[in-house]
Amino acid sequence: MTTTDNIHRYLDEAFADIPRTPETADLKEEIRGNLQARVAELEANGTTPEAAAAKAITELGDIHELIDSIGENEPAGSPGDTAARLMALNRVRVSPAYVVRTVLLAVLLAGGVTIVTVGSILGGIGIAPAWLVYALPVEAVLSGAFLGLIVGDTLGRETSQHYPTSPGRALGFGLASFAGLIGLGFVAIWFANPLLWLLLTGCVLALASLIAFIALGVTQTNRMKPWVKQLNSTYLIEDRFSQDPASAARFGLYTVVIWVLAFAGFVVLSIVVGFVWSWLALLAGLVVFFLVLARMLFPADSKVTTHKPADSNKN
Amino acid sequence: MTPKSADPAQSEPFASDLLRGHTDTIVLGTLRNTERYGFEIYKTIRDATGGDYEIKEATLYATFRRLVKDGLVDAYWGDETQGGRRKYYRITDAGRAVYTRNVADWNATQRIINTLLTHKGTDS
Repeated sequence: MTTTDNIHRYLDEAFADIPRTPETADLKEEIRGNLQARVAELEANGTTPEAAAAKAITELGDIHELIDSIGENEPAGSPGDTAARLMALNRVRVSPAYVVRTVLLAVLLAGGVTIVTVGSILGGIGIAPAWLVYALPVEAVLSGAFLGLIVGDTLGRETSQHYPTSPGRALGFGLASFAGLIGLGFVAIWFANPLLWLLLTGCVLALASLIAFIALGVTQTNRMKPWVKQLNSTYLIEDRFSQDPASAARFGLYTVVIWVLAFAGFVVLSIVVGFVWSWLALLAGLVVFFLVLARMLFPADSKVTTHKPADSNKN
Repeated sequence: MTPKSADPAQSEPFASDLLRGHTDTIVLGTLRNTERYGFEIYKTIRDATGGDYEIKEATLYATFRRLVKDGLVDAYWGDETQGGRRKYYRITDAGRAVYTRNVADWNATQRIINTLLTHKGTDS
């Protein structure tokens, strides 16, 4: 028995001769974690680190046969199979406490936003009871806190596809969401209860939130795990716009036309019939935009071939 | 089935081949009440027998892979922030069904073997 007193060197040597695939990398990491746990247990009982590592490796037994068997049956499947395999290998535990907490917060958040929105509208047209109007700022602050907690909590977690955001940045995103929602809420409440401090505080908070998001956004680094990046690089090619740049260019032009028309319609309707109905122009624009997007990404002749789909140019 | 251990270095007072044939069920049994990671499963088995039976960890890894492939356990990485990363295993409902059946089968087999081994025969 060769005695190695470093588990990492031992693993590197044991896995040296076999091709590196997701499966073998996964097995190597799993064995490494278990060896570390065993070493920690031995060291806690007073064994020296070297002796502990050597003992853990001895107890592990002969892994070469196992490694060879994993390396052999390497399925070479379609990209879909590869994705499913990688997903299965890289699954990360979802903590039930987190799910329960987030669902509860999301329900509270939805309730809070609804109360603030409806309260502001009712207050704006003068049919809200006074106590409701006074309660709205509190509700806005609470909603902001719920959103901030969800955002911060979520970003700080490792998922199957992403590494966790660093605690400081997760806190930053949480606070920015917190401030942003309160800001928007205060501005909305100002319509119901035209107090200058509501408007000022709201604008300052919304602006601060925007600046914070921009600062966090431009300093954002990659969070994706290697297997996701690798998968993305193979999947981009299967995307229709990448396959057919002409349809991407056409979609760009359509987008401009749709939104120019929608905004023009919005302005004209606002002047002619007022704000009550003019938003319908934007809604119509949005609907047309998504219909066009769907049409471009999934053409009626669903076979993705090189020939151009016979679209009649309507613009 | 070869009697006793095939390993000449250590001769155990039990048929380890027989035990090895039940590794899947033993692992499923350790996962009945809680999810565990590899070393925890190893430790549970070792401690449960008071150290009499130390299953080879290399055997365990092959077992985990087979159980996952058959859908009897789910595997996923834990979200520990410190220390080594751990791969956890959790028994599925299919795994529970197989475990229950295997235990019932074993109990029946054990009864029959015990009966046969102690049977003196009714020679006239």
